[in-house]
Order: sequence, then C-alpha cells, then structure tokens
Amino acid sequence: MKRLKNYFRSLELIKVEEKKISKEVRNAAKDSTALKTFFLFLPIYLIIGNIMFMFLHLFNLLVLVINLFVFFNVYFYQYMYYKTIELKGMRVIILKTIIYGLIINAILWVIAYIVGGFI
Amino acid sequence: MKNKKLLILIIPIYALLIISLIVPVGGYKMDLPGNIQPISKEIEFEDLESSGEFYSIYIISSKPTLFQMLIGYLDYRVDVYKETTYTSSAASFYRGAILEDLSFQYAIINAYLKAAEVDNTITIDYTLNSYIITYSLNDKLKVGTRFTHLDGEHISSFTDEELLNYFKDNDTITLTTLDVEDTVTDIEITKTDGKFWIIYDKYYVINDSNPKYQTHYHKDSKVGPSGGLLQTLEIYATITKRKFNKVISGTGTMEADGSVGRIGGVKQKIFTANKRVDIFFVPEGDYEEALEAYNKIKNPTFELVKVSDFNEALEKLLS
Repeated sequence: MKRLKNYFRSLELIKVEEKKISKEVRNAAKDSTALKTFFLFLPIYLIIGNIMFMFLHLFNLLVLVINLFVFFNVYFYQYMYYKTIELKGMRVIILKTIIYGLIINAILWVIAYIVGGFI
Repeated sequence: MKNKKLLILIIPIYALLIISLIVPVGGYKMDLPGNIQPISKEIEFEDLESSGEFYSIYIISSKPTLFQMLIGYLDYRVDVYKETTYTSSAASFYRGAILEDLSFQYAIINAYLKAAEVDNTITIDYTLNSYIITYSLNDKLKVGTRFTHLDGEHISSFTDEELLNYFKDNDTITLTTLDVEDTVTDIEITKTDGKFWIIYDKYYVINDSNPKYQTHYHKDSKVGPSGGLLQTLEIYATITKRKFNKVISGTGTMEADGSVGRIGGVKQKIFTANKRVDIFFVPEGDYEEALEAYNKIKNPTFELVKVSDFNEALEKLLS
C-alpha cells in the first residue's frame, strides 16, 4: 500500500514539474516528437500493411504485430517528449504507454474486425 | 554540418522506401491466394433449400508495390507478371463478367439436364440465341458482341464443326451482329495472317425451368467463369436434394457440352483451399500445376481430384 502511495506521489510530482514548464515549450516538444515518431514508424506500418494485404491468412497475426508496434510507438513518443523537456518520468511514460496503447489497440481491433469481415 | 550531410543521405533513401511501399508499379500485376465463397449465395431456387456444401474459390489480383513485388518473387504462392490488354483491369473485368454469365448459363443447363435423368419433374426449356465473342484481336469485333447469321445464314443451320470449318474455309465473312442493346449490324470481317483472331461461345436463352430459380452472382464484385463446375454441382445437388456432408470446392469452367475447361490462378487456389475444404476438383489441363502446388503443402487437409467433365465430378461425389 505504501509502495503504491509512493508510486502515485511520484507521478503527481512529475506532473507538477511538467506544469512548471511553459505551455509553448511543451507544445513545441510535442510537435517535434510527434514528427519524429511519425517518420520513424510510418515505414514500419506500411511494411506490415503491404504484407497484410498479400497474405490474408496472416491477417490476425499481423494485427497483433501492429498492436505491439503501437505500444513501441506510444513509448517512443512519450520517451522523446520527456527527454526534450528534460524531465525524468519513466513511471509516467510507462503508465501513459499502457493506457494510450490499450485505447488505440481497442480501436484498431474494431477496424480490423470490420475490414477482416469484408475480406 | 555533419547532421546536415546525414540528412541529405537519409532523406532520399527514406523517400524511396516510402514510394516503394505506397506506389503500385505500372504494368505489373500479382495473383495472391484469396478465400472461399458459398455458391448458394449466387443462386436461389423456388421452394428449395440450397445445398450449401459447394464453395467457389477466388484469388486476389492487384497491382503490386515494389516491396510487394520483391516479396512476390520470393514467395512461391504469389505470381507476379506483366500486365497485358486482357489482364488490365477494365478489359479483364468486362470479359470476366461475360464469361461468368456464360458459365452460369451452361451450369444451369447441364445441371438441369442431368437432374432430369433421375427426376422427370425437373425440366428446362432453352434455345440457342447467338454466338458471343469472348476473345478478340480483330479490330471490327469487340468482346461481348453476339452474332446470329454468317453470310445471311442463321447459326442454327450449322453444327459446331460446320461453323468452325466455315470460319476456316472463308477469308471474308459477313456477320449479322447484336450489341448489348440488341441493335442489329452487319459486319464484314477479313482474315489477317490466315486467322480471324476471335474466340466465340454459345449464348443461350433459358425460357423456362422447373424448379424456378433466381441468380444473384452479378451482385458481387468478383467476376469470372472459374466457378462453373462447382455451380453445376451445387445446382444439381440442390434440385435433386442430395447431401454429401463435405465442404466441396474446386475450379474449372463449365463448357456448353459439360466438359470442364482450364482456368488461371490454380496455384493460388490450391493454397487457398488448404484448411478450408475437404475435396478440391481441378480440370485435367491444370492438374500438373495443381499437383505441384499441392505437393508443396505440408499435411494438406483436402483431396485433390482431377476431372475432365461434370459427370466425372458427380460420379466421384456419388461414389
């Protein structure tokens, strides 16, 4: 219980530290990080998409691979963002990666089910 | 400065990578394994429940990106080839739709005639309306044009052989043709390099049948005659109320005389069939290619059966 309290306490502290940085700086960091993440992950998603179209029997497996890359994607974005604003926040990064990753993957499975249904 | 040089090097490589993943390579097509589709969706009979045991197999044909081309060359299941007039999207789709129409006509006629042998309440009334051009390199005749007379003589006065010989023996023939809207036109065709460069097939009109049916095959986006044999079997099984308790599939066109014709994409169809069907019929002419693909599958889940006509396929199922 004490460990959990400490954990949330440290999360709050990072949030407070983050708020101290001006909004402009944070937004600029978000923009540049988003751009880097986009260019880094675009070829990966396109490669998976190309293979996905060619081998329909691997459809579900490839959706799982995309799910995995979504976690890498979110992690990379959060990591680069906190690095740019010079804050050490590994716990926030992991928490956000899990939450955002799960939300995006849930949406992806709905899309995959709709597309897969038509194939 | 160092970073700038690195960027100059990376950006073109990155751009090429993205292009190779997005832009289709012009002039090429690839054939990929596809999926199975129940034939019962394509035809419905009055007061009869469809057999539902027969499935046609379709493959996916598309323009590949450079990346897909590379994978295609490495993977045995994928065929990458240069596009020709007859494989280009619009022409091949139109021709495929005509061949699908004919395939269904022949399937219905053959299935009803065979079923009438075991049940005399099953009847079909049909007439030969015209011959339809299914392949043409002749400038004056388009694919889909039908003809009813040769030099003024009606097609019904020719047997199949006589018609073929008429084309062989004459250098110039006037065909009385019908277009899609049944407009009559006389077209004079002349041989070039000793040939007319056309392929034609019989075009029937089905006036009446018992049981009555309704076709739905033209409602989907898939065209082609490759399901001809399976359509014939499904129709026969439905109207004679036979059950085989198997997932039956295969490929091969149905010809007017009941023989099973060759079809493309056999290799991809074999890979599609695995783990989906119990029995797969393949035309005699495609058997070698099919067997080669079949032997590449580890522990195939289906039986590969070579057939030359509808009767042979039916005998195999009834045995």
